[in-house]
Amino acid sequence: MSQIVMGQYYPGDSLVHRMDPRAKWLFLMVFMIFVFWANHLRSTAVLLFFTLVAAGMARIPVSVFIRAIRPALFIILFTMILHLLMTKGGEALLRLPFITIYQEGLRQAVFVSARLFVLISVASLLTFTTSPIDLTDGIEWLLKPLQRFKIPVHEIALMMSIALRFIPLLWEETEKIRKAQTARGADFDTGFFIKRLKSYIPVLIPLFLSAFRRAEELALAMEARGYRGSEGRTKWRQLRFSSLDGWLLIVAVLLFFVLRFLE
Amino acid sequence: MEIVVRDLEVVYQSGTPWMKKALDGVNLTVPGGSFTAILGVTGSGKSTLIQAIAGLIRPTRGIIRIGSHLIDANRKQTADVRRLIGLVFQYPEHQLFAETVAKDIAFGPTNLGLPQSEVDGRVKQAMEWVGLDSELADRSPFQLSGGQMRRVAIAGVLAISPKILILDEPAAGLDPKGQEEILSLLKRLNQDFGVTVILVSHDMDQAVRYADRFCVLAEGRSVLSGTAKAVFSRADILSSYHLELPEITRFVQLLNRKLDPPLPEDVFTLDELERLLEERRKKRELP
Ligand SMILES: Nc1ncnc2c1ncn2[C@@H]1O[C@H](COP(=O)(O)OP(=O)(O)O)[C@@H](O)[C@H]1O
Ligand SMILES: [Mg+2]
Repeated sequence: MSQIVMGQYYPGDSLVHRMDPRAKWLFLMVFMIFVFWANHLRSTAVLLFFTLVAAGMARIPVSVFIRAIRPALFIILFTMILHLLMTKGGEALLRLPFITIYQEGLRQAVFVSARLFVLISVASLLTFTTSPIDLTDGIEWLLKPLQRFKIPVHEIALMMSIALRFIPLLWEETEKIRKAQTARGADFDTGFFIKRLKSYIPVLIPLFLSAFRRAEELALAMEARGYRGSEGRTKWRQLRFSSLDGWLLIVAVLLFFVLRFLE
Repeated sequence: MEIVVRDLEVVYQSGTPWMKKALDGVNLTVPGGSFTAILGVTGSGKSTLIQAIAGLIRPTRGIIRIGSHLIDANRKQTADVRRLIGLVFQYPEHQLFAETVAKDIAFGPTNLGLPQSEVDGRVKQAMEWVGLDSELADRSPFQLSGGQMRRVAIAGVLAISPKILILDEPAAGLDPKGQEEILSLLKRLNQDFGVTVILVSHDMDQAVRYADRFCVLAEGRSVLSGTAKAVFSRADILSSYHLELPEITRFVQLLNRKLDPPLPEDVFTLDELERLLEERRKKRELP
């Protein structure tokens, strides 16, 4: 019955919540570059440490955090095992009949999974602490320069905000349909891969139909209210930078120097 | 088969800021073979209650007893209880998925592991019950009208042959004739086959015409329950939870302002009211 999904907003009043969404977006982009720049375990460890501190400052309960990124955790685990088994090099640490684990494999496994974890955690931290409206207003502002090249920035931002709004709705819908089919004796929990996939057909088809229906309804509603896209549209909510965002800049610069020293 | 609910509590999303206590100490007894209506405004917990009874939501406190089977916070419902209960969700036509009407209706009985001949028989029977033409069996359910789709969905649950049939606002969004047809079908299943029917509704008039027992939910608690007379004589409680009396009761009250002696207020069908008024007229003409 836990319906926390990736990309969900977790309302709160922490320092991180109060930062300007544009600042958070920019920071996220710079931070992602840092993550790929960090090619050593020690610098990735610094980034991991920073992520955990930031998550603590955002006051997101650990259980909520874990539940939200759980699907990604499986992927991380999977890559970790792959690297552990497949990467050769260095001393052999463990020899079993079919499996040999090398030093390099262990290093890669830790490094890659830490890197993935940091990436996913920081991105979810952004969505956890920023309301969907702020997220899209932020990205719209950041993409504004692209309007010169006739890129429909406002429409892209609108698409994003609709998508964000629809994720929890579709999730709810999935649960409802699942329950309804369970009540008709559907079984989603037994059998192997193909059988399980097949057992989801009675959920997926109604889900797609419902997504199309909602999209159509939304389009109609927007037209009925005279929505005409971005032209001449003014915003009621204005974004404002504050000194908090200055701190974010300082943190980014600090991280830069620390990484430069470690790399 | 009797259903007893005691002190039932259901909490959604506990441990998050969206935590919501949807049911908070609900008590309810549904006698076997009854036609019970669960009434209440939107958000009062009706859907949550029936999903808990159907074993789709686990309670956080309290017990649900179905016949001799018991469900509580630690005990999950087993498959054999589940097949006793048929649950028709709100807007059930949104859960259709198969290529043909017949295949969709067959989904339930097939999952029960019945032989093909038995499944075919049940599909035919269910289509007949809900008044679907047998010609429609090979059509795609998505080419049907809204009302027909609703019938296909209900047939899909009837095909399981449940002893207890629970429906969440089955008539919502249908035209008056379609509503009437669905509800009379339920009445027929209840009277002729002894199926226990639990009907969730926020329409008092509809409920009072078909059900024989009532349970009123408000803010996650059961605030009134019993026969029509017991429930609808408490206009004070009903109105404090933003529920209206059935139209017929309000009409009788209106008549009673002019009538002496007044009519009894536990008249819940037009036929009954007509009979009473007719009697009065005859009495007056006689002397
Ligand atoms: N999956 C859910 N997660 C959180 N809250 C829910 C969920 N489903 C229902 N609720 C809340 O529980 C309460 C009761 O809902 P519900 O049982 O659907 O009422 P009804 O069917 O009487 O309209 C409502 O306040 C609703 O918002
Ligand atoms: Mg409901």
